[in-house]
Amino acid sequence: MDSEMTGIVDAVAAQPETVAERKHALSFLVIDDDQVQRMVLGKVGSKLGYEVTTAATVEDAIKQLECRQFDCIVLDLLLNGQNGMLMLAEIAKHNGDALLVVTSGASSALREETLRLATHLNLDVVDFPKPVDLVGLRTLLTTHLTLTHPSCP
Amino acid sequence: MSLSTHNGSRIGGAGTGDVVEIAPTEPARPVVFVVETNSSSTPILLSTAINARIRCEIFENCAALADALSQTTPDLIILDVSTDGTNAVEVLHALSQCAYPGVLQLMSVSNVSMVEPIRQLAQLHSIQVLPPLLKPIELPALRNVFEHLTSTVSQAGMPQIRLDAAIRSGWIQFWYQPKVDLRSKTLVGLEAFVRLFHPRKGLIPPAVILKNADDSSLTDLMQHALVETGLVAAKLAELGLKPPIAINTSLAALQTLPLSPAFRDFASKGGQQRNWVFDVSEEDIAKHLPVVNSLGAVLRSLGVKLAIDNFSGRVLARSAIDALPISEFKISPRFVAHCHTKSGHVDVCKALIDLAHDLRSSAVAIGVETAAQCQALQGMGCDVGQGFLFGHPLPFEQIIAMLRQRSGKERSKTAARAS
Repeated sequence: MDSEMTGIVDAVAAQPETVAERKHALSFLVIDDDQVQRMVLGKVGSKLGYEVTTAATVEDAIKQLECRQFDCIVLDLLLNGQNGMLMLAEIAKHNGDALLVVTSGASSALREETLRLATHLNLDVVDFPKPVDLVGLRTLLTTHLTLTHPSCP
Repeated sequence: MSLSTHNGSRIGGAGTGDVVEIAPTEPARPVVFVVETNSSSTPILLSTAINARIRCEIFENCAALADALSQTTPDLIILDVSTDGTNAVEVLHALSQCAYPGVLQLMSVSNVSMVEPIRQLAQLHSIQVLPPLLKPIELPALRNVFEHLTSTVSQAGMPQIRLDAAIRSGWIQFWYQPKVDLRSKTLVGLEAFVRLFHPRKGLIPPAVILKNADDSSLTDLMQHALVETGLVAAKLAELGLKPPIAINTSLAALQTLPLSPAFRDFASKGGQQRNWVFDVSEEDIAKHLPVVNSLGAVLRSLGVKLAIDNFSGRVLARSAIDALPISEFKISPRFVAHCHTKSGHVDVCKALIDLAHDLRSSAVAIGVETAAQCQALQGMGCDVGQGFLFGHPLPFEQIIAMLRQRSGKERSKTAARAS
């Protein structure tokens, strides 16, 4: 991990923990082949009170999806020689109710087509190009949390 | 204009595999774009395309393809789906941007998971997708793809013409092919073949208009043929010739025959209707068996003669044959083609000829193209031959010229023998 990324992780970790204090067992899956991204994005989720799981490959992610349900899934499209688009059918099959956040430095064409296919599969999908706007992501996750779990404080 | 035709297309399009090619008009040449990053299939794609007369261009990536798409819209795009599929997705995106109207052929090595998402995306963009070609590409599979493409493009390039509109516009002509007595080698009949001359496209394959023609249009065509062939019969009579003229038609159209003004007119002038023979396909008769008995009685009363076209002996029951006034059994060119070489086909031809004779009808071999076939048919007792060996379908004026030329040669030979 380079020093710049370490700084980001620290910054995320330093965010107020108001939402994180909600002790609901909400789950958060980060699918990204980059270890740093997994750590950063996982930190965002955990700060909001999500229970975070990570996967580095399509195969790992499918195993996780087969084991449990997630409230939110963050998906990178370029997964070490594999296409994150492959995950769409699996997510629709196992976890169609999850909020899907597509994060990628891929071309706009690939992102646009991924969103098209995800929408076709009735997935609730949001596009977050890399570098991920962490504040925006946090806001999104908070809103999602509020909408799906209105009883949370 | 040069013509390459098997037996010509007849009125009613009985489907003898007839093909008409027009030499001056170059057929549409399909264009195929291939997107493949590693070029592993490039050699087989290019060589097969050249043999299939297809223009094929190879692109390594989406950017290069996008440039070409701005210039040309290909008929087919062959898209390699690699493991990560990123390039393929970008190509699809580019195709959607230009509203690509053609067909997409995916190719990939086996078990590439991205094929299915790509296929789904293509469908979302309303792009027609063909089942994937597996790499390494096998030649027969690729040939199938290219042959289908060539067929589709050549059909798409044809003008959409309705038969009734073509008749009204005066684009229909009839050409005539001689029928020859195999023993005396003399002319014993002519068969009329429909030809369509479009004012801008030239000679159009008749199948383009006949394949989708309804019964009403086919009836109109038969009426048109009655008028035209009636005039031809009158001109031949002036020359002292009275060969029967065969018109290919359908049973549905024949049911209207008694009402035809042309038929009634000729009938009232001394029974010239006997110079017509109506060719009906074996399949058409088999499909309309319920009407065969009643129609047979009507046709007999009118003195109409029928020929069963493309007769194979495998479709019709004997009762149907007995019910109709069949004067000729026209043996399918499928059997005639090998009547001198394949023992099975020899047997079929002989059996069909014998059947015709048992029913006191003539056996007519169609599609006779070589002297060897002619000799074999003679040996089997076949009565009449028709095919390229005796003459292509020609406009009436050329048929007359050909008959005069042959008649002159015969006179010269006779004179030479006499002296």
